[in-house]
Amino acid sequence: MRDNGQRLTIALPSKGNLEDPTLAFMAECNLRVERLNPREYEAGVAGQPDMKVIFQRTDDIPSKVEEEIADLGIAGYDLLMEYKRETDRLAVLMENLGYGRCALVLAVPESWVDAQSLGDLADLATLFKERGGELRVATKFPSLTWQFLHDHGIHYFSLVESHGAIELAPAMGFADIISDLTTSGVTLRDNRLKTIQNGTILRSEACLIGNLHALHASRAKLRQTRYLLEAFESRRRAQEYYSITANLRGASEEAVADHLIGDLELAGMKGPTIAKVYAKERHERDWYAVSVVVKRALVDRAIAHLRAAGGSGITVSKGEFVFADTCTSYERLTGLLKHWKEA
Amino acid sequence: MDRQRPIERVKGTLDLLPESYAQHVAVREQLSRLFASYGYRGVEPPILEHAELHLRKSGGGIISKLYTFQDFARRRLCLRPELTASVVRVYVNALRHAPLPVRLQYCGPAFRYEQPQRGRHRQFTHIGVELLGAAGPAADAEIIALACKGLQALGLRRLTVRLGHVGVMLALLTNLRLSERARSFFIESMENLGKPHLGIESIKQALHDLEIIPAGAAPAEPHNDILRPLLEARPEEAAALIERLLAMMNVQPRQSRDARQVAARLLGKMRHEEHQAQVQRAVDFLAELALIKGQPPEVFTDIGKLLEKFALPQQPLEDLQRLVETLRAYEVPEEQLSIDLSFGRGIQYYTGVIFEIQHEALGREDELCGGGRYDDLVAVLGGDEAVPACGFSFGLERLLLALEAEELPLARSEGPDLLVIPIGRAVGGEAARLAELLRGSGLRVELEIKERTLKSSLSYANKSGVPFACIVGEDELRAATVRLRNMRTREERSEPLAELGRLAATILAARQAG
Repeated sequence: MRDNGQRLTIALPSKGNLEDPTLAFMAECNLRVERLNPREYEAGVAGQPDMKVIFQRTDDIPSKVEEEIADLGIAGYDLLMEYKRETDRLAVLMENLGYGRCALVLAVPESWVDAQSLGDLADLATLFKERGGELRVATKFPSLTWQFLHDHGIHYFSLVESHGAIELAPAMGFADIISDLTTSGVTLRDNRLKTIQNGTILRSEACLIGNLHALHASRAKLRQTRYLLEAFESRRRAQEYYSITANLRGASEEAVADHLIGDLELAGMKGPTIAKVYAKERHERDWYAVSVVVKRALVDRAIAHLRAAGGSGITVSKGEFVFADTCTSYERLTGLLKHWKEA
Repeated sequence: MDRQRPIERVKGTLDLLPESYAQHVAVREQLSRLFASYGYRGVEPPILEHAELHLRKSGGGIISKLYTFQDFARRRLCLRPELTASVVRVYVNALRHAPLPVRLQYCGPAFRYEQPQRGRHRQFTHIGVELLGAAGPAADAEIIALACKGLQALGLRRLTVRLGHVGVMLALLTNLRLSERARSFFIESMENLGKPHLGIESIKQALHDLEIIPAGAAPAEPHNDILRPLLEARPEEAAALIERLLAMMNVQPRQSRDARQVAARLLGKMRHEEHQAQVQRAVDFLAELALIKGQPPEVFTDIGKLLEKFALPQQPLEDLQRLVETLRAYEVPEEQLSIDLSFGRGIQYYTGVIFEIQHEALGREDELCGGGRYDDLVAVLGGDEAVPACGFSFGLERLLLALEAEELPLARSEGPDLLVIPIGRAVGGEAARLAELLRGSGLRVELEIKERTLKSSLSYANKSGVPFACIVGEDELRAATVRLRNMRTREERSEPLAELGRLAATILAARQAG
């Protein structure tokens, strides 16, 4: 066991396509990573003397967290699932940080016009076997691919592990099909490959992982983790919600409220906030300022609703952080820790 | 240096400690002696095999749990998941010229990547026999009787022997001419047919999930009317036409599949509907098969009717009837027998009679023993000709669970009888010689090899449960004696070296008195 002191150590991806969005996300969460030198492997977090960042290759983050070299880490869910099979120390603390989205998919040559679904692939695997061969699948994700194929009744295949450009494998002839990450599908198309029905092995985005043993052992680290989870979660929630303010004319606060609550979905998280506007002109003293927080998808409807009620000066703004009554991911973590014991 | 973190045992494996080790050895030896009394000679194939050995015919149930890896020479190897395929390989490689039948027994570890639970581990021990080169109920009966005798010899009683016959389903599948994949699916699904929590409904679901039956309207073929001319053309013409179409569209399959193969399969897919009817018929058959279980002879009537209804050969029924008759001669308790066509073994190589023996007390993992007839495996694994064969194996760990459940006496670990303690370095040699002499007369003797005080040596003997200590000092040697201490009563007496035989006899007697 390594002693990290009581400072919470967070492993963040260095290089690779998760680095920049991770640093941006941390900064948005008011947890700006302060790196003295871009080549430095350790860094601090602005305003958080009890947190420390270490930079790791993306692929190594799950193992570094499991080995307690870091207490927390940000990694792609794909890599985590590929790595994590039977460790009880490693837990996902927040599964969607909202960036780094991709999918691990099976793809076959476009010229296989007879192959459209997973069922076709199963048939082909059997066909290859009957001809004395084997369906060869090139991948950087052998565990996930192996499990997925067997779970779907495809038993005759061999995995070709490759760390180079997987999408080239079929054209170069060292594999028949591939299992690879894709975001837009452009790379697949460029290489004359196509996905198949039900051939998505896993959808992934960046997630926060933690070592339960480390968090169980140190109250200080758990406290830091809570702070981090609160920040992450409220920031993520803020991306989902908009705050709308408007001026509305009405007989009384009650009357304005009744109108707004008429559409429950648009009445905000708890209910609208209503305050009297002391207009400069006395005869205009029947104006009220209202503010509601609504989900992103409802903004258009909310504006229409306010307009219909005679609203004016409608301002929509995005919250920096939106806190709920409790921090869901922290509560889940404490639940995990309560039942956690070293296996 | 910091204290190193201890290394844990691999998940799903067991450590045999002295007590369980002794039990393992005792059960193994007892069964092995019994097998030998029927003429079965031992073989021991290696744990490492080429993965190919199991890929050829074991089926998905085994392959998906196979520990495989590439070695440094890039060979694809595996830890064996069971021993039958290995023993058959041994036969093909080394014993195929032996006069038939060949009777072989074996015992050793096997490995499967399972979800560990009680009675199910990732490393387990199989002990069993294979009878190669003999067909028919006489051979089946010998195997099944031997399995029953083995359990009897261990004293187990709360058993059920389930007899089935894979040949029934195989005959139907052959008649239906299903695709290889559908065929494999049905053979492996048999394992779930008889399980109350799975059954026929789970199999129907799996058919959809695995897209052997497309869910709803076939989504992959929206152009069937356009394609009708192709379906009506002669197959070769249609294939050639598709090939030309592909070429025109600049679709050029390369490497592992050429245009001809793609075209052929595409055409096959278009003719899918025909196949669906056959799959449906297999499902209907399974549903009926699931209902056939019971005691002989009543159940035989049902089997006869089913075979007739689906126009299948009556051979399996005759096999089972003669088998049950022959088992009577072996005095296998008839009340333990049940015929059940709804069960399968989850392994693809079986071809005829199959059986399992379950123990009442073991819950879900209640199978102590499983086996059956596999007439094609020798040929599949490269044997010269079809050599009919059958066999079974016990799961040793489960046998021990069953023995425990029936509260049968288990073998005890045999600790040492005596600790020989030299007093001082000078008499070390003499003490070693003495220990050798005593071992020669049948005692289990430990020699104190740590240089420590007599008191600590005696304390060690006491704590490790060694019943006697023999103290060798210079004074004693001068008088040609040793001191013998009974650790339990703490009595010590002087024993003349000239009468070591008597001393050994005393200790042996104490051991036998327990």
